[in-house]
Amino acid sequence: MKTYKTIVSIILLSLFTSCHDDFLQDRAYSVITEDNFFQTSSDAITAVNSVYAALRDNGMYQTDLMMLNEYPSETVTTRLNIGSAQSNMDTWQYDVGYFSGIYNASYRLIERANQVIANVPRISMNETLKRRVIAEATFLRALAYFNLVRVFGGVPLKITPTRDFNTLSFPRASASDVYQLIIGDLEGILEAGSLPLTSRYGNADKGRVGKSAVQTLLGKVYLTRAGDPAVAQNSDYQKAIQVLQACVSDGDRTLLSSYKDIFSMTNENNAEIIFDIQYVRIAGLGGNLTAFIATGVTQEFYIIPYYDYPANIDFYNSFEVGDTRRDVTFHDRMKIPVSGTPNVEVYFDPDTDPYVGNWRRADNNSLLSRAIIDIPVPGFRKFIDDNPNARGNAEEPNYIILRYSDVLLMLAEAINEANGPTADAYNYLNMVRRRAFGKPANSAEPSVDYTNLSKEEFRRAVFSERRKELVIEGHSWFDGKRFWDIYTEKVAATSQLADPNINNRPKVPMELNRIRDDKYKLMPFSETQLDLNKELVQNPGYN
Amino acid sequence: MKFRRLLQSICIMSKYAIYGLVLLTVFSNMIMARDGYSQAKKLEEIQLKLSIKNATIFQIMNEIEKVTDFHFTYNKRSLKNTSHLDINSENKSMSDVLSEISVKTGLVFRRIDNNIHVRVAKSYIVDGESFNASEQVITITGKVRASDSPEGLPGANVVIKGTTQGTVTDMSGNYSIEVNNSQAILVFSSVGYLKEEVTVGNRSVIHVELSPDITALEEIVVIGYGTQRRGDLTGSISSVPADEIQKASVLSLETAMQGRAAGVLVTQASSAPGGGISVRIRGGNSIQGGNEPLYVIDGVPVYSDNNEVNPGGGQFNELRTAPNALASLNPNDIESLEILKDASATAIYGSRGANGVVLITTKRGKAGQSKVEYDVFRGVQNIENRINVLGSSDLMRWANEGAVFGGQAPPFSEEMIANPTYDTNWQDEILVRNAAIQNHQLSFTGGTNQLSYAISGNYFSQDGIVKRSGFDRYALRMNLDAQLKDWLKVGNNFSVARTTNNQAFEGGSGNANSSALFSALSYVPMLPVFNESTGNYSRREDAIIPGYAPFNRLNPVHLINEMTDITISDRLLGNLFADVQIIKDLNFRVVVGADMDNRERNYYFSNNKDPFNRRGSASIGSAKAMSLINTNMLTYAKTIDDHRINATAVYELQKRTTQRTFMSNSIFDNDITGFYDIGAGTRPGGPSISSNWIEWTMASYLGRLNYIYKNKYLLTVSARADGSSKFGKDNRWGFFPSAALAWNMTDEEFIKSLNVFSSLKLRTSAGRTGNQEIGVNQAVTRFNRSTYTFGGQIVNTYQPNVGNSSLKWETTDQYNAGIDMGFWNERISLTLDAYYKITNDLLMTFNIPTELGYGSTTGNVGSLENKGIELALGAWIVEGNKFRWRTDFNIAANRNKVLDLGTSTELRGQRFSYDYGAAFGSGNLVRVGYPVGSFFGLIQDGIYSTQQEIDNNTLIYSGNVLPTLGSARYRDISGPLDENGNYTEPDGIVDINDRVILGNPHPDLIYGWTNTINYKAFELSLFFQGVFGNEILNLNRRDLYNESSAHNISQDRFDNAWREGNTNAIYPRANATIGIVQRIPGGTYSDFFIEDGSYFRLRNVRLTMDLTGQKLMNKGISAKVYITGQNLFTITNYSGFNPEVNQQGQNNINQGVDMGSYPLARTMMLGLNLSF
Repeated sequence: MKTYKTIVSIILLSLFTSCHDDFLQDRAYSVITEDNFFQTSSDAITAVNSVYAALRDNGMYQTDLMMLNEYPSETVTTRLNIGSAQSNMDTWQYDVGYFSGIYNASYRLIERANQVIANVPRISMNETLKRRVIAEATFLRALAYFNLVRVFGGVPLKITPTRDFNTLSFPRASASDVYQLIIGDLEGILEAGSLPLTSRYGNADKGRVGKSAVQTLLGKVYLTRAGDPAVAQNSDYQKAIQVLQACVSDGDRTLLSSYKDIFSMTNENNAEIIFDIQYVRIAGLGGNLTAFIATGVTQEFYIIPYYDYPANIDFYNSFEVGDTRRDVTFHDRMKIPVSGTPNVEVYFDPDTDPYVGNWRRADNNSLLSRAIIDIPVPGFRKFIDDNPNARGNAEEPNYIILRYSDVLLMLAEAINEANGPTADAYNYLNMVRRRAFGKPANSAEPSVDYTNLSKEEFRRAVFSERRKELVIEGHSWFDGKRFWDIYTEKVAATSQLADPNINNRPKVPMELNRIRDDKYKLMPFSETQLDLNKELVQNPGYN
Repeated sequence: MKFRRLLQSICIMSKYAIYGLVLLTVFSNMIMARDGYSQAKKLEEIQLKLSIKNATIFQIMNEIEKVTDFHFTYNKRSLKNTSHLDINSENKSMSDVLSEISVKTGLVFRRIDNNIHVRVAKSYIVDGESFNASEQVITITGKVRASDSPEGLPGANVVIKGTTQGTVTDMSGNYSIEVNNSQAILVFSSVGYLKEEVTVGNRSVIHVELSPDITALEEIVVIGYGTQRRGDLTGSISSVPADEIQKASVLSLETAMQGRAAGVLVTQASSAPGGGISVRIRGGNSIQGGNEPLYVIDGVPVYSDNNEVNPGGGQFNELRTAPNALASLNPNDIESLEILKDASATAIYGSRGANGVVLITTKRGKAGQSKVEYDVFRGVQNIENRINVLGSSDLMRWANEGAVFGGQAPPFSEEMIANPTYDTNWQDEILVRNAAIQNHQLSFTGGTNQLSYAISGNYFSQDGIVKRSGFDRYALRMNLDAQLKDWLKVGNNFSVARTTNNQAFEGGSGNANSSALFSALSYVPMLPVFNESTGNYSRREDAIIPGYAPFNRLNPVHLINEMTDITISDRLLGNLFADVQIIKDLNFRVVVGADMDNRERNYYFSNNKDPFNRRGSASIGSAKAMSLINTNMLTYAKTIDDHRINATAVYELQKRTTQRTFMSNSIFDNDITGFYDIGAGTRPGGPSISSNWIEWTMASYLGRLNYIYKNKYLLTVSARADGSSKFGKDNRWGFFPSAALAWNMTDEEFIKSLNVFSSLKLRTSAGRTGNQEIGVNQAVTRFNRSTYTFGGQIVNTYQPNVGNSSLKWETTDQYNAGIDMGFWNERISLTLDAYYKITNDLLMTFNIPTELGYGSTTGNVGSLENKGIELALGAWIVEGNKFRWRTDFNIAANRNKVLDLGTSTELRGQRFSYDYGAAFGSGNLVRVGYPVGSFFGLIQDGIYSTQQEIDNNTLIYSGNVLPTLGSARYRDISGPLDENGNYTEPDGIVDINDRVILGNPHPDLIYGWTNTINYKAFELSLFFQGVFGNEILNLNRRDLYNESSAHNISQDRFDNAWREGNTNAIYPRANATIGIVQRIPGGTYSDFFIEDGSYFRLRNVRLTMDLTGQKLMNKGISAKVYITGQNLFTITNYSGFNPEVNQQGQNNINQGVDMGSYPLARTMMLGLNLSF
């Protein structure tokens, strides 16, 4: 009996001592964890790639940021579906919920960038490549903070990666501090020469941030800060001019001779593109704007074309004869099924009564009734993939964030603001205009050139050219804040003509005057963000 | 690297198996007690027809084993010298026969379930002790009778205490014994009765009355890591007897519990063959963690997460109703099913016990009895009820009515209405009449004392009542037991099954195209199935008047015919075990178990006859899950006088690995090969391929002590420590203790003297259990792979996702008090339990400040409670020889309440529809103070039925919508939130602030009622089941009750709409919305969608006729035929197909939702049961 007990005890003892730490360790075979990441240059590159991928977020240029810029502006009307996001933004009824998307997406991007900036330095790898990777992340973080400061003003600054969830409140920094961070980061990249010229990237890296992107963004940052009296510094216009001119003189980027070619799906990453979101026609890797901005690219299930960004008829009509941008900008010609016949080509006729119909058949010019196509305005054509199989985040066109004509227009604007309409200012403005009319950009073209404008008239000309040149490219409200008087006046003017039964002009008249309220230069934080971050303070006028 | 780790863990596990084997070879001892099995029938109920002359006791026992389910266990040597007997038992009960043998041989029989232990009565063993003749000899006579009968008790033992001297009573219960002094104590005993001791004194006649020993005849209950006599239980455990399962012809394991155990709510997420099922034991404890109970099948734990091994795929996969994860297990193999409910019972399962545990034991072979059993049933299924929708003429009238209200000319002419070109009944088009169902179960059981076996084969096939849906199961089982040495027993459980599940388009995200059933309800009848000229499926363009046609919806026949969705599942579940009797009373058991579940879902949507000629899409998703478990268990059982001790200690290791691969492709040139050649697709960028491989492990120590004093006071203490890889390094180990006390009052004098109770026991328990049902790797920082492109070339991206290192278990503390009562010798029995459960540290995704870069993380936040009462009542209403009627009723009430949600005040469920955008968000929410998944929305307040009401209206509707005659009115309940977050007084505006809680999906009461009536050779069993007081969010009403030109509506809506001459109507006029309040930002529901989900259903009725006559019985053959009807009637007010609906299945928040759910079938079956 005694021996039994001894043996049993010995065996039990050996049973109950074991290597639990081994057995219970995580076995995340298909998951990469902090233990095994940030070891090689490949880790650095794939980590920075994720910061680019954050640009595809719905809070970014694909949905929210673009909605915010285009809906309130005079270029776009909406379906006036009361209660919809479009309508609420359109009529300046800012329900705070709509801005959380931009806020969240920006901080998601910032966190990814922070991970790269904090962890890549300890990787042993090629130093030039390491500097480049860190600079790419830094640029993207600056872009996100720039969007935040433009939308919300001062926001919490978070420049180190999240390690745990112990700190759960973050105070707002001042707008000046946010600008300081952005400018410091971007100037740092330029001073260190961390990034190559955009054209130097090989095919496999087309779409990465190059030097021109940093210059253009920095120019835009100075120009924007100059236009905001609360944070403006005296030298801002000069610094904007300086960095943008450096971009021009690098000769890295250039105007294409044809406006249409900028947006061609077969001509992506062309010489005019400074920075864009790279899309391909593969599910999950493509854009999704077609359904929202295209009129009449018929989806299978919808016979009536469905869209969220129809053009304002006044804006459509404002394009002069000969301006090649109109055909490229508007989707005013398309194929739809009519009475069972598929692919009937129809075109938009602005001169007909919208109560009767605005579209005619291309084959016999007969007017189609509203029962067949119930849209009294065209949609937009930029960033449209007309391949019907390319839908659901599978659209080919890259979404352009920065391009060269913007550099020229910003230069014209900055010079005019600083020194009045000098010859340089005219030259930069007219280069863009000449190209739009199919003329060589670098030689004077009296038929289209602006001349003899007062400083104020020149401002209006810049505003108008920016609109026609860059509509739907995510600039409208941001630009509008720099041209507040002109902007609000234009929105009000088109709204006066609005007919609630025909949604070809934006805005409901009763909401008109609200736009002049300066509180709309900044957007509110959502209730959720205020609840979660107790130190976040709401912008004035939204409590 | 991975291989090395795998090897390492295999080594660790096998190490313990080797320890076990070492123990096997080192120690030797006696035969250990056999496992017992539940069997409800009493010995008295069992009629035995036996006629044997001059037979040995072994021959007699063999004969009895042949004709009954009983099995005798004995030590052959000790019985060797018994004499030859004649037994003639025409119309005697088993009990009588055993008594007779007992009288004649002096053998004592003791029944534990199906086993009858035989031993030689000790009083007859004479070891040569000398008789003291010097004392005076007194002859005592008397009669022994049972307390429950006036008849004398034959065969009772009468022994003089302290000696081996004794006698037995004769056929009349009389005895005569000689004692040598007046201080002698006589001990009276008999099979099934409590023994009595009487001091002789100066009496010469002593009559004795014996009380039945209930515990001796009582069943053995399977508990976690062991078995226990029911009388010794301290916890709350419900058992479902195997024959109840058999009688109900249940199609899946979980439905065996439905209505049969108090406090167990079983809900079919889908009534489709092989459809998902969700089970809640005493309510849901978790909000985002799993809420399903843990199933332990022959010792192998199986968690029923329908999505865990659901391979995904399909076109509208977002919220599909996942098929049942346990469908591959054959319910016909179940020997016993035990449901552990309170913490005393479940704490032994520690971190996996919080949701209750279902213990399933499969059938095993019995020595000495070779038996072949074949059970077959075949039947037909038809839809239980249909939803009455409009025909073409009425729908055209409806459209005209709507147009007139809208100020337009009626679009349809009287001619069109009188003679509609088409009048398609879409429900008829997709439903099948007399869908077939069949089941074949063939089993072989038997063996010797050394080796016994149970082998079975099952084929089950069920066609769906919706076309092209169905389910097939092939299952094999082999359970072996081998008594290698008298101290060593080894055995196995092994089952393998293949199931094939053809899914119809049902449920889904709420996108109208995701459910053929939803589409069939509302597709317009004016359209034909096929456009006659093109041969294509009809669609919007085929409308006779443009616009009066389906919008954004596919023809239901199109959805049914062109979609193929087949899930094939192969499952291997089993274990190997060895039992070693180390020393007397100390037993060691080692078990190595495995659960392999490999599934593949193949999906193809073809372009055949598609007017758009979309070019096909296919996917193949595969999931391979493998659980390994090693259990090492020591049990010590000892009885010392009045003390009984039973102690268990276990060391256990578990591991689960899930591998998935998924591929999809699209744009096929033809439909010939579909998913069979998935490479044929020409999707841009090539086929999409992904895979992942995850694993979690758990190590556990556990112990339990049962202490019983004088069979009166019972104590159970258990504790388990679990370490899981799912949690943060510092929070891996959790500790789960429990304690229970019970007082068996049956033998207390003051209870006895009441003469009311035949049994009475009070139970109370408290304990802690845990829940770890969350995904893996939530505690560590991961870098998730995604992709991006540069210059058109795809590159990988790794984005950070910071883990919550402080993640730990969800814990549930449960308190239980119960009472078990039996009256009139257990003719009526009653069990009542009350419990309170509080779950803390809820595993939940909670929102964190966005500035951190993440919207949310998984953490331990908040708490909720469940409390309830359960009652189970059983009674023999009539207990005669020819006519018997047994009834069992159970009812339970559970109340669920959210106590705390951390930083949030409420959570919304997932939204449903993508058709109607934000206007159709989730109607379920989780709000502090209310049950999980409560429904919320506006309250409709009748309709504006007269112009006067319009004129008097002062309510302002959100969006400045003006009410019109015949439109719905909504109630203004409160104004906007004040600064404290409370709603203010009504503000005259109907908007988002007026949404209130409208109900919840949890029943107030759940109940089940079983009746078994025997008359001669007939047996009728009736099983009713129902729920009371729950609400259903009936989203089918979205279309069926709304104005639209684009779809059909219900007859009810049409008949009761506001119109001239019917201004007192229930529903608004033809072109006014109802239900969804479109003009409220974000949209909302109204109480119009909320329906009472109470129902009472005749779930199963079975009439069995026993064809076994004397001749067949003599040959050892038994034959029964039966006819079964299922779901023959349902009493409910619910307007949809089936009130037992829960389209989102195991989703905890979106419970009680109906949207295009698969209807219930009414089934008639004919069956035959043969055994020999």
